[in-house]
Amino acid sequence: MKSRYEVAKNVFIDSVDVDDYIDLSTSVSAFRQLQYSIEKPLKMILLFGRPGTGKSILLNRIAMKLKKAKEIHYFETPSTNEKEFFHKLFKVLTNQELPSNTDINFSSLVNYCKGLRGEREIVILLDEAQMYGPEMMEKIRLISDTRVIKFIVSLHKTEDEDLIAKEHFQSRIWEVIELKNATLEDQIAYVHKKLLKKNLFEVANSIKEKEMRLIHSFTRGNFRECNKLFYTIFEICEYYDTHEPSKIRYDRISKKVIEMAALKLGYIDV
Amino acid sequence: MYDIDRLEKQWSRYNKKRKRPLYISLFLLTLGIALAAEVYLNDTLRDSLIALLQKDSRHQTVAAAEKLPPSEANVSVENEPMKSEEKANIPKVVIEVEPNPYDVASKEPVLEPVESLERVPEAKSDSPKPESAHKKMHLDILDTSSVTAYKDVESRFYQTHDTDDSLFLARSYFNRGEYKKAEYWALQTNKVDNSIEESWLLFAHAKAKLGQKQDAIKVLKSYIIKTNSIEAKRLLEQIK
Repeated sequence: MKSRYEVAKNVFIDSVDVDDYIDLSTSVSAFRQLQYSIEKPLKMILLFGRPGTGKSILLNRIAMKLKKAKEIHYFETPSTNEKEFFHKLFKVLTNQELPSNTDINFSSLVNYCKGLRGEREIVILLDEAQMYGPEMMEKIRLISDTRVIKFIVSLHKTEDEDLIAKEHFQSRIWEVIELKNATLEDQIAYVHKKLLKKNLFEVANSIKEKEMRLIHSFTRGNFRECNKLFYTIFEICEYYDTHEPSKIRYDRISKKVIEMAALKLGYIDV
Repeated sequence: MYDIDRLEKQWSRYNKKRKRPLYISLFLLTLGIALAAEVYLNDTLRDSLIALLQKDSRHQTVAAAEKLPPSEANVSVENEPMKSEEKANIPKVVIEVEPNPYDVASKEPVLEPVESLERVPEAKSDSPKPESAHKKMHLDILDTSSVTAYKDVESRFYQTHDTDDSLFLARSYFNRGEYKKAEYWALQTNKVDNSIEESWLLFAHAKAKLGQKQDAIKVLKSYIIKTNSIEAKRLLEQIK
């Protein structure tokens, strides 16, 4: 018989699958704000926050939600070079693959976009935009000035990337949406909703607020870290459930198990 | 799957390390409480010991005082803080420390604290001549009711035949109404020294009190003939 913890741990495999999206008060608010900003006549929208705050899944969800209403494209993986990026853009604009051994002239591309003004309004979601260099970002800005392509740029908020945001984005009149780390209440709701989505009511009920405080202190409200920690917790629980059931409490996830998982992931050390 | 055994050991080490400050805090707290308790108990013990010693000292003083004639007992009680007026009576105390081979009370240890540096000079400055002090001693002893003190004086008289002792006994017994003993000790005084007027008067007076009025008159008349004593004449008129 399959351990309940095996199912539970798989719930926390990190992904940006839109089916795994959990509606939380903060994420719902961010979603509405982004949806509202897309409707405005803005050239670029900046979505930023620390890693693991749900930027990618938010972009993914908005792409899914608006794909029937708008011409929206999600560039999940950043292009490694300019050529690759323009190839992707060419396909979005023309719906055709660029012939091999062919390069795109940037001026021609801008002019092509200008020719589409009033006819089409394209939204491109650029995830992990910190991977693009300043020169590339400048070209993206020039394309957005045509008012045919609207870019939603997702950035990690770190010290350096904060500088990029200031220099390259905040000097222009762009919308800025910041995603923050989950509060304790958000994180509790996130974990419970995730488990209940898979009908793991008993497991969800065994995670009490006191233990969630500890988990929140380890993960600092980071959803990705939260997923990692819960995956490890349930993996340890699965081991005990299978091999040493006397060592595990089924009514409550013990502090010891949480700390063992934290040791394993390096949140704490000896 | 993880190496759970290794992870458990790692957690045990972590748990011990985490609890170490708690154990140290508890140890320091216990140590602090123990030290505080020790200091407190030491103080309490010391106070109790001092109180006990003071109490013992008082008991010894009272016990010794009970052995002394009343006047000396008063002296020992006067070890307590005194008013300036009371200090004026200190000469009595000084008299006790006068070298007197017959003075039993002066050898009592309870009187030793009286010989404090504070009191002795004051007493000496106020004290009269040694002779009068000597007499005062006996006046003080007259008030005593201690049987032991009388016995001591009696035994000392038999050894030394000091008329001061015998006269003291005669006077004391007379004042206490023990006229037979007063008569005896007045006679003993006369046997040693028949020139002491007081012993003659005590002898006659005691006899009169014992109902031997004629004998008393006879004694007084013979003494008046011999000395023409005014006191004797006055006593004779009184007896008549």
